[in-house]
Amino acid sequence: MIIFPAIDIKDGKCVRLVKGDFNEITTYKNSPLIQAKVYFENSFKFIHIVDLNGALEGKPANSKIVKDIINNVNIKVQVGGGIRTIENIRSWIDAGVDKVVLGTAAVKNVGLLKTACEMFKNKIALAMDVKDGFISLSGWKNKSNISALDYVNKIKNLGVSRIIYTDINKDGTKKGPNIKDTVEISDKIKIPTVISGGIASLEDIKKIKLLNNKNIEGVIVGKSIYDGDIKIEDLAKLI
Amino acid sequence: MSVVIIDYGSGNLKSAAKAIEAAADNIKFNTKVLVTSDPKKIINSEKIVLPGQGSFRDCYLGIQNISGLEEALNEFALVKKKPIFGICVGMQLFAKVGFEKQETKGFGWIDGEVRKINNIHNKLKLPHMGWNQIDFKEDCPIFLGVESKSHMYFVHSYEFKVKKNEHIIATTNYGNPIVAAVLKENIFGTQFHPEKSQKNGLKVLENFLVWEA
Repeated sequence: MIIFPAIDIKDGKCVRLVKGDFNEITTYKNSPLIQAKVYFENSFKFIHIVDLNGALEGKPANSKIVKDIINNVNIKVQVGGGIRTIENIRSWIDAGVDKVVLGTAAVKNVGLLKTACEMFKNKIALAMDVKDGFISLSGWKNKSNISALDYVNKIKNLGVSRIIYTDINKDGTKKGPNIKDTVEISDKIKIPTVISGGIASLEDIKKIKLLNNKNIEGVIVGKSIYDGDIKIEDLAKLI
Repeated sequence: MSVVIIDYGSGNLKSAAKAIEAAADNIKFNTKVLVTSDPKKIINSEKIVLPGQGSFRDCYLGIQNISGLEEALNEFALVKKKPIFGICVGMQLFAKVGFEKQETKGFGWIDGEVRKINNIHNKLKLPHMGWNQIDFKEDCPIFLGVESKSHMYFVHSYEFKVKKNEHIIATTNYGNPIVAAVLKENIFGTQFHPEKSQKNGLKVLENFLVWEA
């Protein structure tokens, strides 16, 4: 199972939001590059980066910082936030990103997701940000009327290489992840799925590991690391 | 991807075809662009673009003059429900009726009529020509990645008065709000000319290429 430590970037800094709310923002002192180095030094092989300015503005915004990480740290980067066009996707892939995460755009235009999966094989991850069973869009500002289950049925054969399932009611709350819904979705579509949102303790991660479910590819851990609830060294032992 | 530009003597075909090719090239999307009026080829293509220059009436009669063309367009848009992009008068033809020169029926795909722009007692010049800012609905797949308040290039004296708000996805302001783009399921059209709207227009065409209705 892959453990993806998260780096959420806003205005060039590492931050965390609570339930995706930009009014509840915590800024951390390490720069994204330093933070990525810390993860690398602790043997993590993957990181999950969210370009929050990108998500808000609808186009990639912190690309220089992400490129710095890719060029200076030997770690696989998946990045999402504000990626709306084939051009956006290509620019990230050219920059050396391991997987590009599509969210809003893939929901609004399934054709974009399909084309992207054909053009960039094994490079496209899909972020499903779910609130009460429905997909959320545009930096979580809007809840859609698209049910998560209907949507995955529509896209399951397009060649998406990874699903990142975030329960927005859990994200940044450290109340424990929504394992049940994530497993339900991943069992249905048989696409490697990453659990995100709400991880509070090492116990949560152990629980996910113990599932031993071949469709659950990994877990994203954010706020609990930054707040010190989970020590990076301890988390590293679970890799 | 195969895209047909409908050739019915309206002109503007070359620039539309070139713009589609440029958009495909820009995103490295394998696309075959064909300019034709052959109903069979139209029905079998994956996407079509319907340009339009001149009056509503002349454009509609131009289509009717080609045997089987209107039927092919109807089948493509309403039965096969494949993506179609009407540009300028090409979009206006989606209306039920147009009043340029004299009353002329249109395809009737999107409820509404094409009427002369209200020039507010000659205060506004007609045609409405040049760059103008558009406001679009953010959830529209064809405007993904287009910056809000982008400028697009317009040339027209008549406007599409769309009956249902839900079909209007972009407007511009010329004295009054004017419909700048419509969307109904697989049927999309712009009053502005994406092929003349430089980067912003190119993005709209790129999005159309990868769009699945």
